[in-house]
Amino acid sequence: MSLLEAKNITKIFGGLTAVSDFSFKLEKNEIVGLIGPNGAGKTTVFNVILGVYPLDGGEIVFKGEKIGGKRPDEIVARGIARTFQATLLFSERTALDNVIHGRHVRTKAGLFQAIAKSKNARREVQENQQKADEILETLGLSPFRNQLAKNIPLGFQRRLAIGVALATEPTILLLDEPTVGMNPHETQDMMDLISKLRDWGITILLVEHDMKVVMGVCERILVLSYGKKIAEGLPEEIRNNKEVIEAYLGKEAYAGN
Amino acid sequence: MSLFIQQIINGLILGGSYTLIALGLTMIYGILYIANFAHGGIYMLGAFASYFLLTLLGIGFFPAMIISMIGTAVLGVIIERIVFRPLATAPHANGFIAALGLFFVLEGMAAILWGHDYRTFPTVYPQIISFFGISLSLQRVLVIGVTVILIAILYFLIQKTTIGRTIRAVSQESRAAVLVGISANRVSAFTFAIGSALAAAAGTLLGPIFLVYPQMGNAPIVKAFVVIILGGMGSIPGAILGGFIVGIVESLGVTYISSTFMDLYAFIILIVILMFKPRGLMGK
Amino acid sequence: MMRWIWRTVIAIVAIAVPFIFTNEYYISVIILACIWALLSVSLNLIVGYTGQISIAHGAFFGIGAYTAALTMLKFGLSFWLALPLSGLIAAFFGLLVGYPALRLRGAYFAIASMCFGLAINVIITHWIDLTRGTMGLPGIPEPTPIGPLTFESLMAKYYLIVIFLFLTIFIINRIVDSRVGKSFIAICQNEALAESIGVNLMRYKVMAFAVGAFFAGIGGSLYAIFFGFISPEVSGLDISFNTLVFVIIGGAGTMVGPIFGAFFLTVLPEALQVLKELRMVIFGIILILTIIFLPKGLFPGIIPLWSKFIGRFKERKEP
Repeated sequence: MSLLEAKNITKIFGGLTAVSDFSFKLEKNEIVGLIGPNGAGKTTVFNVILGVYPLDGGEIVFKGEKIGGKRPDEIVARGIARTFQATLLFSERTALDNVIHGRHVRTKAGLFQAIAKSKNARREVQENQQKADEILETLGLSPFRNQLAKNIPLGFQRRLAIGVALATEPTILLLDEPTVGMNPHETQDMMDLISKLRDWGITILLVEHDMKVVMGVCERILVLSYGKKIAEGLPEEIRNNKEVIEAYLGKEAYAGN
Repeated sequence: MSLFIQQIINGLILGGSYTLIALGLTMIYGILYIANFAHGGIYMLGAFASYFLLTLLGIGFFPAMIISMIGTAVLGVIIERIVFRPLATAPHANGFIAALGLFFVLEGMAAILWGHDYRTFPTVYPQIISFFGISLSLQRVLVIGVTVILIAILYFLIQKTTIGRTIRAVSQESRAAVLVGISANRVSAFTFAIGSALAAAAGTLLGPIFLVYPQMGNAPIVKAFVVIILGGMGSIPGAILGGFIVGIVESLGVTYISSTFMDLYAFIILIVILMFKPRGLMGK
Repeated sequence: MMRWIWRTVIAIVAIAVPFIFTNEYYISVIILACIWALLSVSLNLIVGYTGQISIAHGAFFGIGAYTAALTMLKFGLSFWLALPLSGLIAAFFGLLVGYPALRLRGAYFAIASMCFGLAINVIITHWIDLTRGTMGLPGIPEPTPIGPLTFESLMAKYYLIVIFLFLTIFIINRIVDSRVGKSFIAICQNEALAESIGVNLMRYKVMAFAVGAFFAGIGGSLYAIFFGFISPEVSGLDISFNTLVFVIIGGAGTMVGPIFGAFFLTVLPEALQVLKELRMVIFGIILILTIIFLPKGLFPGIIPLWSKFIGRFKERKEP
């Protein structure tokens, strides 16, 4: 049984079909790339997996359980986390606080425990801080521990966003264009980090436009165009796939190639 | 039966005016993302302006309404410039807070200048028209007529004219609009002008029915928001449909259930729509 | 360190007030300010920390006041039971209204909350059999004595209300510092991000709303026994608007801001003997100026100035 299986998922906004009949599988410990021209529906696929948008068709099965129709917080609790295209962070909070925020779903203290400052609550607070520090350490963000997120350089902000997602202890991590706007040096660092994440046991679904990253780090690639899957396979196969090239560059470009 | 039809017509009058207020509100919100809470104050000032034009200067009802509309349009432009434009880049909530402050200022000043007394409009068109067993004052008939005309003019303005297309362009993509050379400032000012004028019209049309006093805008503006929620945020046809529904429900409720709890009917509509169709009847 | 110094100073001042201001009128104004401060701190949980602008707080205040008054007058319930009951009933309405209303965003939620406020006001005003409408409910008794402590005197009432104000601040502070509080703040900052860390948006928004309502209800019951008489105005929109103004001008999202706002804007108009309508205009103007120039509120705006002042003072000391 695959870790995650999307069967014929469809998402329609008003008159526009953003994703149509899209099926794919994610196996444990893979790094899979999701590519396609702008507007192909890639971020929509993320949003649908995470329950931000309800499905209009098809089903998503995670660890054998149907998760279509569940709320985002339920899905995060089950072990799927994401980062956003526009690096979203709690900008007025420190890096440490940001990662601690990410611990929300793995902690339990409720309203009355909060008021009573119960032993459980206090223990969780301590654990959270320890775990957060560990995450910052592994991502090389310890120097920024007490800096406000908005004052941290952009490349490190991206890592911090991944750190926040890691704090939720995900089984699958959905990364939305993690290297956009980065220079080659930063891009290589990010690629190394993604490989490391996989080595730690996390399955990764990666949306990317930078082909170097996709070819360099993904084991398998899915290609979307206008909401439909037009190709799937190993990086080599995709690189030479006629339809993929057409989708990105237009029919004339291929013909002239 | 004729009582029923009478009340439906009353409902249309009420609803039409709620629609006028709601249209101004939804335009301002759709384009500037400001929930202009002070709109009730504009409505009230429009009513007072017409009232004074009528009683002190003896100007006719509809001429007074038009002058009032022009005056409040100017006021709307001034308000947009002084209060809301500085907040164009701030979070939307700040605009709402500023509108709240403006609401206090307008209502407070009205209370200071004109006191708390309830003023009645002199009835300008007292003639009664009867048809099919229904009697209506000419006043009420004219009110419906004027409301329909204003809504139609607005619709035409937005859909067919250049400035209307400009407004729609800005509401859909203000960055692109700026690139094409449309001045966002001009659109803001124009939107506020139209919205305010519509509110003044509504105030003038409802003044004779509900009396004129500083707090008169409180309930109507809440109802206008209910209208927008009912119709679906951002939908002009929705606002029109919603306005008439709220007006008719209120009118029937007052006649057949109770008049003391008049303001509650809109509240009930709100709860119902929130529970069953939160995006509104024609919501996007 | 500084915090504890401030807290001790404030505690001493709070205790000393009835001895400094012997004039009953002044003490009454301060008591009223304390009640508004309690209300503001509870509204701040909703507005400042969870980021939802609510105009329903007056309704919860009124529900609390009428619950206390009616249970004490008609059933002879002891104040010490009526007080928590007021909070619970108000919280109940908070849950009831919050759940549908919080599906709306931003200004639309504000309007829905205002709608609710209007509705409660209308019901209280016109359900004459229950509430005696505009005639109000007079003769609300003082809290029953605890041992040798009676609550007939103004001074006793003052201490009672101050203690509840401090208790409210204490509890809400605890909430804000906890996992629950962090969820509120996450929602306020960025809902999409909050969802992505597993925060159930509706759950926490409704929770904040209900908890805020609970304390508003408590405030209402304190108001009832302080004045001994309540009328439908107690649930009016004025209170909702005023409290919102206190929070925003004082500084939403800080613990001190709303308290500062409540005291500043209650005591100042009384001190200047300003007419009610003029007060409204002045509040409006201050609100507009504040939100344009000092959007975080007066108190957070003053802190940097204060730090600069202290900084310059220290500079002068060291040559």
